[in-house]
Amino acid sequence: MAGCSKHGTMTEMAIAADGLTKRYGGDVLAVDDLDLAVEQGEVYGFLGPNGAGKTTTMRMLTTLTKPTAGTATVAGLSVADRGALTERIGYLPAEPPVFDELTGREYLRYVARLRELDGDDVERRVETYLDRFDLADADRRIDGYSTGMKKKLGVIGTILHDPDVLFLDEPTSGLDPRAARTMRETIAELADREMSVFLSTHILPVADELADRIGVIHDGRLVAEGTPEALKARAEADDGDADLETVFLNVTRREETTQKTDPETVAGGSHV
Amino acid sequence: MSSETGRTGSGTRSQQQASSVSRSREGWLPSPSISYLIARVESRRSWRKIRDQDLWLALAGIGILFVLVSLPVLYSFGSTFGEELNAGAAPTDIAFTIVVGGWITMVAFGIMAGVGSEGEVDNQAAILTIRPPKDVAGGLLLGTIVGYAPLLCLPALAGGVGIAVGVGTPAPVAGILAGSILVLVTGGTIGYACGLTAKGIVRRSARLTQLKPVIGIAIFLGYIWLSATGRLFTLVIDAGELLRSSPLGWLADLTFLTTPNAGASVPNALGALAVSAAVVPVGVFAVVRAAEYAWYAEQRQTTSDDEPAESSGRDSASLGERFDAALGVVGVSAGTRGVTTTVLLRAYRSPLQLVYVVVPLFLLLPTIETAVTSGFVPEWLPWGVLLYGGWVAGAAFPLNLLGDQGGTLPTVLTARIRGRQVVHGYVLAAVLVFAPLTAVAAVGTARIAGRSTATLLSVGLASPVAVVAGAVLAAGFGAAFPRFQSIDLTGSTKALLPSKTAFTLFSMTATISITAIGVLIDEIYRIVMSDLLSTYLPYGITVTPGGLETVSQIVTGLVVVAVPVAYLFASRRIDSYRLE
Repeated sequence: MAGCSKHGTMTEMAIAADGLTKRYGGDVLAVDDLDLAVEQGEVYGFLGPNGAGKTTTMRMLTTLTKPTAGTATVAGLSVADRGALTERIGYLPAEPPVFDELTGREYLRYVARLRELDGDDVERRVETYLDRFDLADADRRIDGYSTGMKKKLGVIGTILHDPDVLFLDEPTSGLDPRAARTMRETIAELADREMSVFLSTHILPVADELADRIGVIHDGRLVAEGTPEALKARAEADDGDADLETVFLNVTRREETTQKTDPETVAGGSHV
Repeated sequence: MSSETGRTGSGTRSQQQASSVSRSREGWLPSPSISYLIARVESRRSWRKIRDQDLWLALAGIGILFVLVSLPVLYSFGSTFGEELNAGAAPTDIAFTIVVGGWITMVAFGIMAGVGSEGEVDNQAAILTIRPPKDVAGGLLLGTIVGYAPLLCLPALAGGVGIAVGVGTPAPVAGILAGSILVLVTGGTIGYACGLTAKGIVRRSARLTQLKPVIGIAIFLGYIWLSATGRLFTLVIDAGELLRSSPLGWLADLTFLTTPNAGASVPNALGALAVSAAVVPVGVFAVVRAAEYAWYAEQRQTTSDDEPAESSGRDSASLGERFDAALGVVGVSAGTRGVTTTVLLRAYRSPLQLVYVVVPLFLLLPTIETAVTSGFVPEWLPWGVLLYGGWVAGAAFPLNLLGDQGGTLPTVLTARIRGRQVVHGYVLAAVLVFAPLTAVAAVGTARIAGRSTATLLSVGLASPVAVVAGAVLAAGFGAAFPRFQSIDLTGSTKALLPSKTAFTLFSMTATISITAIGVLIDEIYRIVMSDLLSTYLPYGITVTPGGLETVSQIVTGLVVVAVPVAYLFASRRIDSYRLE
């Protein structure tokens, strides 16, 4: 699948999903016929209420969960091609993926070795990122770190190999304002370097600030998608409030109302 | 972003990233270098976990001591065996059977590892998006096999050196070492694949997932029973005998190939090498596939702030609600029944948390086995059952009632619930579970032991008294000496055990108190205990039944005072507790 990047060049889509569906145990429909197209270098904000299917979508796109139906490619590789795809992506789950028994530096070196990165360049990268994220005490064991410090370490481990597509699940939650700002700046700069970022968050100002486009998922379906400006303009037209919170509340409420009125109705969603 | 962390050169990322995949990610078998890296880091993590937790450190120390103590014994056996070989009178059949038995043991170890935490990926979402599962599985398998190596290879080496000394040539050591390594690698790999497959089957079946605690307890108790009664060894040797004539027996031929006069067959030994060369890669491949089957089992995944995942807890939750309602009907206050229901639900869903309370049962195993096999039940056993019932009622639930709150402690301390309701809740949970069990077990044992109706009645009435007294005393010790730091039982299961101080003081108090009650009630028990004490007390001190009765009266008097004191202390301690 190809498209025109925000930088104006014809490129392969960073993420392309077609009819992606996940059903658990035959009766729980977690993701329902999801279509996605994220361009290279694009920051795609993925919003949705609790239990909407955000994490399941991310797990399917990162090869952790097998789709029940539909296809998806990430960095031009099918999500079925686990070996190749994992080399090109970085995934930061909501819980910081660190090992408490290691020191921060040991953990990053371990991740680097798992990624088969070696040499002085990696050491320099590690040091630079540690400095940038203000993790000077990296020789202390991780079980003594705060949640925010663990999250910073997790982020560094996720971007150390300079992936093509980065999946971030709530990257700024649990961070102090300074660290959250550093995180936002880092995400923006990674996107400037053509790294595509799939950003799941509940913190709407973060999505508003960083995302080139936003998709809202509700009950497993994409119910709204567009640039933040376009979504906000529509909210202003509907409610008089031009903010992302209004967009979020409107589209999820509208979906609930539709389902309550006619549970059989499958709303097509709104794209701006 | 600084250039140091930035990508060099120009062009799109697709152009920069070669489309080819790194060679280590290709193929069906794990990358050796990455597997080695994972095994090394996992071993380091395991060691640090053990080092940090005194219980595991003590268990590891006991394990090491056990292996070290076995070495001279095995050396001695080996030396004698070597001399018998020279004399042409060695029991080679038994030696060959032991090798096959060792292989079966390694399969069992592998299964345990695969089913347990060594077959689990910590931080799965991260690691499995960094490396393909084949490399992770390879790393965990390698770490497991290396971890088991000292348990098998060191004793084998000690025996081998003994045989070498016995026969007067170092040659046996080479064969025994090679044989034990093959036993370790082939048995461990096959067992690990089976364990991971079992894990996957359980995860993919809602029914089995629900029954997992029950299955786990049954297997654990069965294992303990077989080990303590010595039947496990007999079973393994019988199985070894049975499989001795199969290709597995070829491993024994290889093991004793370099041992003079052992009667090992060269073609069989070569067959063992050839079969192992085929079995190991096939086994590793099976491990990889079994790991994928287990790790990618469908479970609804949600983020930490998403709605709860689909779980097997619904049935127990509705059971809990019904139970809570039933307690409400009989007038138990909302706070107390909330505590009771929560305590029991948590125990039902995480029975491993209570695994430590079965340890004293090991002491009773020989007696129980004799009772089962011969039908003879000693007359004192009903009081032994009563003692265990009273002890377990305290040790299982109230002995760490503050620490047991975990992250909810601030909520409990700032809620309207009073300390006495927390104590009531824990004691009630213990009484509801253990009073009927203790009464039935104690009366049943007394009946089988042929005790009088009066004794049956006494034991039956004393059971709830012992359980209540045990639970309340435990609440007092638990409130005085709480423990908040949990220990790792498995990779993902943590348990919050009572503190050592509370555990020791309570165990001593419960033993003395409940024994005193039995001594006062039952004359036969009084005589048995006075004999026992007279036998084991130092400096030739003798205890008459009359003297013991007097001491028991004093102890019982103290218990009558201690129980309400423990109750008041625990209640007030909770009310006044402040987080440090």
